Amino acid sequence: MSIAQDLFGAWTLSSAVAQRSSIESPAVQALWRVELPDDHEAAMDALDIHAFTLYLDRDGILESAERLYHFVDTWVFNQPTEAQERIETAGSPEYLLAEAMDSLRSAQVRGIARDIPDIIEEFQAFLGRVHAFLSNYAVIETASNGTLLARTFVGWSGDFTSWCRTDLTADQAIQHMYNTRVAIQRRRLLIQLLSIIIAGAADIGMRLGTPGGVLLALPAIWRFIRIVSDEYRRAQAQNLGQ
Amino acid sequence: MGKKNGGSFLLPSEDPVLAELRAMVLPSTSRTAMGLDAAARNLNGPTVGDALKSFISQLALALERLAHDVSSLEVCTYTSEDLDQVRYDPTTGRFSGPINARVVTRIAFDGDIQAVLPHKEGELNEGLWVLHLAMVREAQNHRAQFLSSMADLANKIIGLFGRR
Repeated sequence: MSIAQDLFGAWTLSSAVAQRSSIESPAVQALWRVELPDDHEAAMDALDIHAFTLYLDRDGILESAERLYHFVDTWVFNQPTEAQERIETAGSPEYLLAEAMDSLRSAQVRGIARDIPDIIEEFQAFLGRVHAFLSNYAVIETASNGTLLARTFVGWSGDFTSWCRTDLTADQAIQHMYNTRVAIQRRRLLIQLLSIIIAGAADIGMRLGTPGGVLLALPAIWRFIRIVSDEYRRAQAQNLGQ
Repeated sequence: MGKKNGGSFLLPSEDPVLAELRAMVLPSTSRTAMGLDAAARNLNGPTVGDALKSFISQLALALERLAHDVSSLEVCTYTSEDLDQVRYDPTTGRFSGPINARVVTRIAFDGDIQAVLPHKEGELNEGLWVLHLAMVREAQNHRAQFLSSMADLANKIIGLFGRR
């Protein structure tokens, strides 16, 4: 599975949750629900996997951001960086980004829009989902064997309202706390990713004179980050397999 | 039962996260929201432009809402025999359904803390107490980090579209 899908982890946008959990809440809510095994150690191991993939995605995005900054230094400011060699390597993420940006500079905006419609659509979908996350309350649920142990509403201003079973044990409380932490860090990662894309577009826009070019730079940068992050994940998976 | 400020055993009254928020958030959010409105006005174009415009408008609205709501942080934890029967509206804070006990901690912007605990013996079991304390810590960290991320995103958007 690619980073584009994995970035959201267990987050889903659901209207069913709103009907079940609230009186007058918005039609769509962001829900993070994790099913855990009964045994506490096994449950913590399952949560460790969610945390591990979160950190893997975060590191992949940081790696992408660093390579994007190098690209900007070379492509926009003509500074010698390690991106130069990659820009000249056909098929590399830097090569593809430079190609897309050159198209934008030479007023071939329609051309790039035609060349990467899937990426534009994918970026719009990503933006739409992050938009939905920012518009609604986040609901985090921890369940075991189909039974809900605890549910937490995270409000816009950061207020937390939690409901737990009367017989909740301290171990189960720790599981829900861990689950909540991973869920909200995952949501924050999406916001940080968007910041990186927009900052990259702002820097690149300094060299683009084409009206509307900056807007089309956004999906091209999204593609760059997606490819580099996927490469990073594959490399890490290979390292773990060795 | 209520505990206020120095009497609380939940949290130190001078929390560094809140101190940082005090210095950072309130004065800037309204200005940021105004900048975002200007950024949205500068955006024209189909597809990505429309999606981004809608996103920016939502972000501006959210930051305005935050500026009004950030004066206190409230963490409520309830127990119930049947969670599926509990109905809750996060907008109004109203709920219905079977409730056994609750713990509430409210942290004001100036650091004052109020805590409400169940008065019946046996209602505050270990699971509820552990969960509530963990959620208070999590809520404090979350608010500081979330606001910081949102402010950063808003500034980047203003940098991209707001000054053209």
